Amino acid sequence: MQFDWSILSVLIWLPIAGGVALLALGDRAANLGRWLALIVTVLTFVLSIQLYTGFVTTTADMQFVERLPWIQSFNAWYYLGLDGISMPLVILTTFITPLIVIAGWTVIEKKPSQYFAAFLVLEGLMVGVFAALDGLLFYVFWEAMLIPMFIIIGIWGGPRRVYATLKFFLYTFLGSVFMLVSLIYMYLKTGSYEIAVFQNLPLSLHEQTLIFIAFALAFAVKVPMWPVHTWLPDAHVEAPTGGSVVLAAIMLKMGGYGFLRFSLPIAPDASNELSWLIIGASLVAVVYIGFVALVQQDMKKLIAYSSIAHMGFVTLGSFLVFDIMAKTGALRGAAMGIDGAMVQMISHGLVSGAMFLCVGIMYDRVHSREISAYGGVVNTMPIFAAFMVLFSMANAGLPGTSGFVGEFLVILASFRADFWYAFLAAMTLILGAAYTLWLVKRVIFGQVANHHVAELEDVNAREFLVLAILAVAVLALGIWPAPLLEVMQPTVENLVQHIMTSKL
Amino acid sequence: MVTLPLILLAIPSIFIGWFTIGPVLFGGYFGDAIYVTEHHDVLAEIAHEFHGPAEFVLHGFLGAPLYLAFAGVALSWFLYIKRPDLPPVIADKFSAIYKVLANKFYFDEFNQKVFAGGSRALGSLLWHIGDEKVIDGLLVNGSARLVGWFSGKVRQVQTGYLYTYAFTMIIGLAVFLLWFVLAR
Repeated sequence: MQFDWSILSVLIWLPIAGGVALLALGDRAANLGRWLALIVTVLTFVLSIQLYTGFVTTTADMQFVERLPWIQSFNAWYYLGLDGISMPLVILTTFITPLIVIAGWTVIEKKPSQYFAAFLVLEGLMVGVFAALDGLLFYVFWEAMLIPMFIIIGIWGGPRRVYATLKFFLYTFLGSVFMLVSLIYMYLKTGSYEIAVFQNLPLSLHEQTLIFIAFALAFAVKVPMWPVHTWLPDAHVEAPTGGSVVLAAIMLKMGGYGFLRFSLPIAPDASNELSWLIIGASLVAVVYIGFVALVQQDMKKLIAYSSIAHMGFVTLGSFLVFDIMAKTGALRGAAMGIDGAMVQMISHGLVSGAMFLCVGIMYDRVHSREISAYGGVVNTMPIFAAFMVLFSMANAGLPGTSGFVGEFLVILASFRADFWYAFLAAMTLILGAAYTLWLVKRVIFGQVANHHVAELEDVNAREFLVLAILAVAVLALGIWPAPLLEVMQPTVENLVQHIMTSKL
Repeated sequence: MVTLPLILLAIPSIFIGWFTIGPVLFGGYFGDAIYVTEHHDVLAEIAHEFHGPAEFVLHGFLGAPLYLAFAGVALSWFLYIKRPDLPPVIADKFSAIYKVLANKFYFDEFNQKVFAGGSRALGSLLWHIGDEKVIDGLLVNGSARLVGWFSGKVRQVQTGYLYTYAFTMIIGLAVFLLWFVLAR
């Protein structure tokens, strides 16, 4: 459907313009800055709702398309559009950002306007990553996104923030450089940067393998997959709460999105050949990282490791398609893994964001992230404890919460592929429950541990609002995931069809 | 306070089986919701023997389980209401058996040690050795250290003295000349 006005451009440039305005405003009127940030992000979210209401669920074609010449000498276009895979991720982005603004409202005392400006700019760039249909435009948004995130961790972060930012930056940058090389290679072959052209470009298996590995490096770091995951716990621990939320909720999803948008459709035969590699690394992530999460003493680190394990489900679900197809030959069954991966991405965005907000709320009061610094929080913060328990249940994949739907779909799909995949994937149900519930037991329940906990005050109206909105979303998606699955279906089926057609 | 709801729950639980066993187990209560393959259909086998709830109840009197259950009721009445002084004496007499039973065959301790403790030990091994030593220490920071070490060595070539550069140039020229001549 062609909209008569450019909704996607608005969603990209409105927050960026808001961010620039905030920077111009500076910290002279900090309160005005906060309100400006809130108004811009809420307005962006409200505008983004029509992406859902105006979305045509019967086609796999790109919608809300905008196409303008950008760098003509490279034949690069300012080309935007959404399908059933990217649309939910854009709405997730516009949904999470206002919550980050509210959560940071009074907490950020150092340069608040610049803090909010960084998040606003980041929001626009993240929408750009999901909406870009031109490879070069995608790459620009993808790399530009690192800058605000670098600043967020590097300025408002914890004591080891410089180490964490450099590690984060170098890791992700190393990965994406290889991506740029394969984009340029395909540009030289086709004379275009259009992703759809890349997807239909016939490539030999050798070419596909190299392109696949280059893309996989970029996306595996972002997801992050084992063994290129070690930047994430460090980045999370040092990042301010808002930074952790946006990192876990949205930026990790870009890796999963990249696999679905680039790796699988551009190099389907190489994906088929190398799917064992991705599936293996995903299963290692699920089991290995689950055990590592169990022994963490820092709450943020624990949730960071749990994020890696959960994102392992996304990569697992995405690459099961070949094994299922080889075994059953049923297109609809093969799509289930990708369905599960998508639901898992949205759900993990909500749940991990909420978990990091919960830790942030405790950190703001006690100034410690150590599990041993807490105990018996339920006695002084009963409302908070109720939220934290709910989100923990969702993190452990309890039915009725969004965490269950994605995990269930992926485990079900892995049964169709191979019993042992399913066996290892299902380990997460045990390990996830173990590390999450043990965290809850030690932090929330038991006797009041010390005078810090005894002096805790329960959540205020601002914090309640943020947690309540997320709680509703987690439950809604858990009880009735159909609207999400519905918008994805034609795109996912089209994707599976495309992947199954050999390019050789 | 809890007694009344318990009584209210106990009353229907006595009778509910009478009315539901037929339709739920052997009838069409679940419709097509549960699929059972032909050779796994255990309930169908039992259905051959099922002739209504009355006969089902009467059949119960033919087997040992019912009498064992009654014996349990009688025994606990005797030990805990009629002669509450007896249990401690028995526990004392058979202290070894009592201990094993009271500790549930030590299954909790076993789980705590082997599964919980083992998982934690494995977790810290993977964390400290896998993540910290191998991935971070050797690969990530190791490559950074390697670059640092190499730069430190190469840096010494840049002495800042003109005569070193001049001398390097002369050597370079000589090497190239030699190569040029020999290659002919």
